[in-house]
Amino acid sequence: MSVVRRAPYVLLVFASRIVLATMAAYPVFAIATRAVGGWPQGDAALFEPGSMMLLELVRLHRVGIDAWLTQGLLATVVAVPVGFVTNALLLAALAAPSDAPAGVAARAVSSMRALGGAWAAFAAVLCAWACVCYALVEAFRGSVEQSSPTRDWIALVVVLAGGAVTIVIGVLHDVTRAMIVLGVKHVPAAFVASWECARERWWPLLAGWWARGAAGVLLVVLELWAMRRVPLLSGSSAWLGALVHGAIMLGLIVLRASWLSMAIEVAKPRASVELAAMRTVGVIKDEAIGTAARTGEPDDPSSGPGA
Amino acid sequence: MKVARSTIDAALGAVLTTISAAIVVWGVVPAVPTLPPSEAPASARIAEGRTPAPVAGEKHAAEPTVERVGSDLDTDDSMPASALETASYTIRARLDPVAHTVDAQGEIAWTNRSTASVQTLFVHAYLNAFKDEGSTFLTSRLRGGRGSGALRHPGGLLVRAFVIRELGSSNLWPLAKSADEGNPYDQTDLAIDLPRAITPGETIHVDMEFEALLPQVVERTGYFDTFHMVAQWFPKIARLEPDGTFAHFPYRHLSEFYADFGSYDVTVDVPEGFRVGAVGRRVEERTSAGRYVSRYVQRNIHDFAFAAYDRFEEVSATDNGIALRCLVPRGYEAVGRQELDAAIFGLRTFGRLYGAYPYETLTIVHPPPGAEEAGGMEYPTLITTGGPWYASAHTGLIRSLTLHELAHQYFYGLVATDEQRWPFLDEGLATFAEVEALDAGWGEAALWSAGWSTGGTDALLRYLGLPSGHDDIIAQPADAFVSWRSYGLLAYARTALLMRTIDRAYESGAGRRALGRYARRYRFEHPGPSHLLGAVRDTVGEPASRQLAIGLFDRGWVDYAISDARCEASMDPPCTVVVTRRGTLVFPVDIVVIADDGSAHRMRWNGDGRQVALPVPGVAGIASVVIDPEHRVLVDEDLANNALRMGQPSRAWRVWDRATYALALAAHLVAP
Repeated sequence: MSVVRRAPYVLLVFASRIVLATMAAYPVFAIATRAVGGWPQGDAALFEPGSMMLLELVRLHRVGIDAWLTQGLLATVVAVPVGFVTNALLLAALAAPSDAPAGVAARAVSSMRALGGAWAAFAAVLCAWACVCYALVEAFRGSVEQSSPTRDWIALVVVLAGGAVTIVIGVLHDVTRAMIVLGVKHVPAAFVASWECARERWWPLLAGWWARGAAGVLLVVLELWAMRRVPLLSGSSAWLGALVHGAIMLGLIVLRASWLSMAIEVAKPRASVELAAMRTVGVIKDEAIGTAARTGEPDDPSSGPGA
Repeated sequence: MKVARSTIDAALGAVLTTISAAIVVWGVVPAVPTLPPSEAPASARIAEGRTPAPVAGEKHAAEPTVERVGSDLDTDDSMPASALETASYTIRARLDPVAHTVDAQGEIAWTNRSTASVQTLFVHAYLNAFKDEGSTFLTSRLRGGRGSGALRHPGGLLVRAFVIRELGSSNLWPLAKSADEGNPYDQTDLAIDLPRAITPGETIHVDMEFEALLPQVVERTGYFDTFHMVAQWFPKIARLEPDGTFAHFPYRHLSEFYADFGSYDVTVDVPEGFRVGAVGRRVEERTSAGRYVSRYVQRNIHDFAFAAYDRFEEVSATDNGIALRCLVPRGYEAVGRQELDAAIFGLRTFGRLYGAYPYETLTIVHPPPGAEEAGGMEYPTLITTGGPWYASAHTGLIRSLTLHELAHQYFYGLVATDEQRWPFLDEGLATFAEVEALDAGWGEAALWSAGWSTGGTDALLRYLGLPSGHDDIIAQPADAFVSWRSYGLLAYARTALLMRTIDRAYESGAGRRALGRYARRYRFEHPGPSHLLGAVRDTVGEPASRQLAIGLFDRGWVDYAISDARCEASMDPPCTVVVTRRGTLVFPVDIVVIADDGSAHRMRWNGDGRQVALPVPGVAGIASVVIDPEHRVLVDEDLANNALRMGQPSRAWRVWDRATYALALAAHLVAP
């Protein structure tokens, strides 16, 4: 339910992402218009079987495309802070479903530093984990003769296992974020609390993540399946495609919000304990858990994950 | 309650994951195209065309002269059945896979087929390219491609005896001196002054003993671990041209080979447990005293190589009487089956287009990882391939490599051109044959097929063959190319691009027919560019032959464009289209005018002139104009200017939508 109640914030994330992506995609639109704008079938020529005109575009406009890719790297410098802010607002809104926009903004701003710290810490952990995986692959492969396909199977197994661990790290990161927006703004404390929480509630967390993740993958796969069947040459299909893609992106963001909402619900009891302990030792004086402390309303157990 | 919700979540996750996987497997990834069935007439021709045992009075190939090729060469009836035997080798070889050496003895029977006496014999000892830093190969290596890495273990050819029976019992090898004028230290191209001249028509017999020391795999030959690719491993007499000059050359980075036809009878002795893939038909095999000995015999060929490995698995098939063996490292059996399928399809296709495959065997060797430089190579009746064990049939990697090397059975093997002097005649024509076969079997999905995208050969040929067109000449010796990249793009891709244009710009399929006549007429011979141009002239026409010559020898290029389109009611006819031809090549092209009412009007321009205004009869208003809408002139430099839309150009909304979606999706995955 909290996702529905916080629809404006979900739409804010969606809109910011679409606007940024649209702006970043403009140069390639301009290049393609120049390359195939004279052809009767327009840019549908780029998607015809055989990819003749697609490779022609790449060949003729390599300089422009290279420049666009470089610009894309620079665009992430803008995209990361924007994404960070909108994500913080969404988390804050989901943590306190009854808060007014000003309250949500205040919660987001007060959590921002800790969220940034957590993000940096988990990014470092992910990088370290990637290095470990690489080292493992090399070590295992080195023990197998070079001509054997077993070498590649080992790499695949390590990558899959590494991917599974990465998902666990991602889940832990989200629970830590939940702890932070629930008031545990000391990053190490938030991490310890989320670790404890994940240990206690690992099954609901992973099952919830899996259900939403699988739904997201299904949406993307369905798009790939459908795009082979949508006739490209009809005049309306470009707009139909945009509509479908927009709907998929919105669906993915709703699923993400639903997952974050669930993570927050799962984190709440542990966050309460953590905050109480912090109050006891005087680390904080007045902090709130979600709606209850700020508005005086009891937490609503029914506004749980995936609502 | 909580437990119940988790269980529902998990079940939902499992169901959705399964659905996604099912869609990916059955819905998103398209089915691999199936091969068309064999055509009975082709197989019948193959059976008839197979090299028979020597028969007195049979039709042999002769030294080629440029003569008219006619429609009688559209079938195999007038093809020569065998080559004129000039250099035949009988060798007994024993492989030591620990020392990586081959100890061998044997005999060469060589006939002077030229019109002049031979006083100096030129012999290639190509393994000496890897002997030391003094070799021409190692001193003049280029960047890129195989052979450019460090030499990890040297090789060499130690000839202990080279005795010409007819000239006495002296070992002539100590007389051998470097024939490389630019590098006296090179020992790959050697000249031996003979005690007396060998007269035209005279046959000599050379008794030889030698030891081939294999390098760690480099530039097609050598060992890696227990895998051994034994190629360019024996002293080989250079090809003698009809005028009495030897076509001899040192082993260089880019140059390949050239030799006279003959018969090969080679016995290969390897440790028991090794499998051997070799040129020719296996006529004998036995195992004794811990050794596996097999004998290979083949007429009408001009080289011999073999591979031996104790971890080979064999996948085999028989098609139209041809026994196909594919030797792959363990775990690569699926890739081996892909290679066999492609080879069977290729034999049928090439047999139909360029004459029946005349041998009874085809052996495919897939080198293991680490020995990649032995892959992607051709020898008579034996090809080497490459690629990972997991290579999918949804990419064209395996089939394109297999078909390319198989095409060399024709353009190098049967039509034995000088690969050093005219590399485009083997690499370019093999690339053309390869892409024709890929198109025939897999169409627009020949190179890749995934999701909404498929990749065809035209797209890739243009991508590779166009950028290099202004840089250098195609028809030049291999050692004249300044880089591996330039060699690859010009000799392979651009040649095929030109041939495809010849094939389509005039009568559709005429280029293929010309190449078929060329391949049949010059089977078992050694033609040059003039023979190819003659075949194109006689089949497609003089203009086509002229354009091909400009393209090959003079960096010919062309760019067709629609420069303008106007309609004025006061004029008769009211509409005119201005078309432009830039560049030095001239091909006829179609122009399609789409009128305001949606009707399409097709016109033909012969390409003469640089810019012409063409009146469009029967059209009152133009919506758009396209020149060469079917992309027949594949060598056209720029397709973006081939079309003109009146008014505003069409906006690329689909591109914007898809790029936006892709970027938003990427942002979703990595969002902080």
